[in-house]
Amino acid sequence: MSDEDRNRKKKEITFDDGKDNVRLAKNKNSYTIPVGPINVALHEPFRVYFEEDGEEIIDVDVKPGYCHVGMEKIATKRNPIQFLPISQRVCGICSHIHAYTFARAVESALDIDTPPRAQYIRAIIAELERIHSHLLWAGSAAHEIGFESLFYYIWKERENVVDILEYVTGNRVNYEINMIGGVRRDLTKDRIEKIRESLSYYADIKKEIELTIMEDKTVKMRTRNAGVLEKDEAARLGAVGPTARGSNLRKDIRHDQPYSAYSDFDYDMVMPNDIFGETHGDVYDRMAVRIKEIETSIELAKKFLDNLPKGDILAEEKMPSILNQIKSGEGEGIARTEAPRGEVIYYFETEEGDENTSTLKIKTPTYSNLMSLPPMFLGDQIADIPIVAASIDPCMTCMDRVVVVEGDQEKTYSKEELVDISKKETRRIKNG
Amino acid sequence: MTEKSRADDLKKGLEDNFEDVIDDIKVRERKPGKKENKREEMWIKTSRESVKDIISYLCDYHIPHISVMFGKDIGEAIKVSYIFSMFYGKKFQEVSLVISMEVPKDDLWIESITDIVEGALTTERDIKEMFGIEIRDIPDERNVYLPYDHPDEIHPLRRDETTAEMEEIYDKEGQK
Repeated sequence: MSDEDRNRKKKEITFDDGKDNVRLAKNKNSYTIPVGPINVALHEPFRVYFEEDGEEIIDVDVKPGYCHVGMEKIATKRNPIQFLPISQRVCGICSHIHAYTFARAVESALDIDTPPRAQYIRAIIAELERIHSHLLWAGSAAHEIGFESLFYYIWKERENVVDILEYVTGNRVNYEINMIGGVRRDLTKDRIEKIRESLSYYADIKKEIELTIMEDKTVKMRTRNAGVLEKDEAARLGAVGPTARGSNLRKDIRHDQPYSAYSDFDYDMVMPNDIFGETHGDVYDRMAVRIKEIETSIELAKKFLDNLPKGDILAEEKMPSILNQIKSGEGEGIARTEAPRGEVIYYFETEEGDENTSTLKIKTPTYSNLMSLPPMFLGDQIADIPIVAASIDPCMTCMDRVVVVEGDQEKTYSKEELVDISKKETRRIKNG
Repeated sequence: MTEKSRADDLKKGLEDNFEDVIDDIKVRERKPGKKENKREEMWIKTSRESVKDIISYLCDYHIPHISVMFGKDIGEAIKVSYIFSMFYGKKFQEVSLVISMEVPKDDLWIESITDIVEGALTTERDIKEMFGIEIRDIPDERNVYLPYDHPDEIHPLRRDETTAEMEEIYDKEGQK
């Protein structure tokens, strides 16, 4: 939708602050469609109200916060080693990147030098995780446009990298490989061999995946010119990751401010202009960026393996010594990492004499991309809502309470009440 | 990698233009990997009255990317910080900026920066609800994470609110 069209729409509208605190621009023929917080079209809970004029979306109101668990508060009651496994639970898909970024923030605050071998191992796992995450997204996107056979095909191909992550780290998700000052597991010869086999597997099938997704007529018809985000909007609204790059905004921390092993190699980010010679800023472009990034991840992981330095994998092996260092040290540090969805930031602060974290702030990519959703929806049709919402690869981190509305009665359940209800329900199911 | 550091250039510009209002400015270097290529972070301390002018100055250089705002309850005041990144898009050129200021609890407000950095809205709403900071001229003052019916008096990341006080408020609002 052009600026002119948008301004024309705005002239017709009135402002409404309804019962559910929804703010939507309306005109006399428009109607409201609530979607979420729980809806078949959304994989995670967030609430979106759409104002529709016929088939066209004229305004959007987004509300996250339905499963906020207060990670930052939890962190202040624990020391960084205790919080490390919890940090992975921020995201079930890119769990490594959270532990990786948290460990780097702690190391930055306390001036801990991570051995180069550990920096390379972390980056290798991060790239394997990116392959898994992008394939997972591509499968979900196929599901959103009703292309179930493509969904199953992509998820079948994703299994290989998940198996390798399990072989190398011991877990399919929440890999538990990071430690403050390095990593907990080394890459032995057989693990390196398995990773190489997996990378060769994906190198062999990458063309097939690319052709199956990008050249498919149905996929192209459903995603071309849907959910357009212009470059200047992406820059103004602070978009990150493939959402920003899909709008031709050059932004990738691996390239702009390389960390760990990334700073030793030349890496150029994937942009739609380089693939197609032009940018539409639509769902198709964001999809193309993710699919092409699988290829760059394979290349990067191979480079890291070829140049894997010898040496230690931990700055300090004895846990009591690390804890002492945390307790006696003080400082603040930030770490920025390019997750599959975009920029992840951790701010960490510790005070002398206290091993517990003093302050922690976590910023996930969806936090930055949330504001880019409304311009993507405006002017689109109802049928495009699921795929446009999915195109930013949303991942909601949220809260531990729930509000139930029955008729006009509202009740907010506490955690204890929810536990009681769930115990009763389990007993009821068990007893038939 | 360029020889001339963008962070040093920016630091000099800030020092020349905001000498009286910047309390502290330092550049931290990190050298990751085997080749130990340099990457830079800039940490700035200032006052709430000057922070918007500093951010406007950054906009003249390059559109700053707002990553996040965060706060810390430090007793009589809340320490509020912004994390920005500048000069993205070019290899090794990006600089991370952390701009901090202290806001007294008995006069707890800051100005919204959404008129110059539009993407700051989500994070301003976040810090408003978590610490109870009034954000002046914010275009959307509704909660972002907390439910809309959450009591206005409770701010989850404040350290001066006791559980007993919170329970009393929840009781009063019928949210037991």
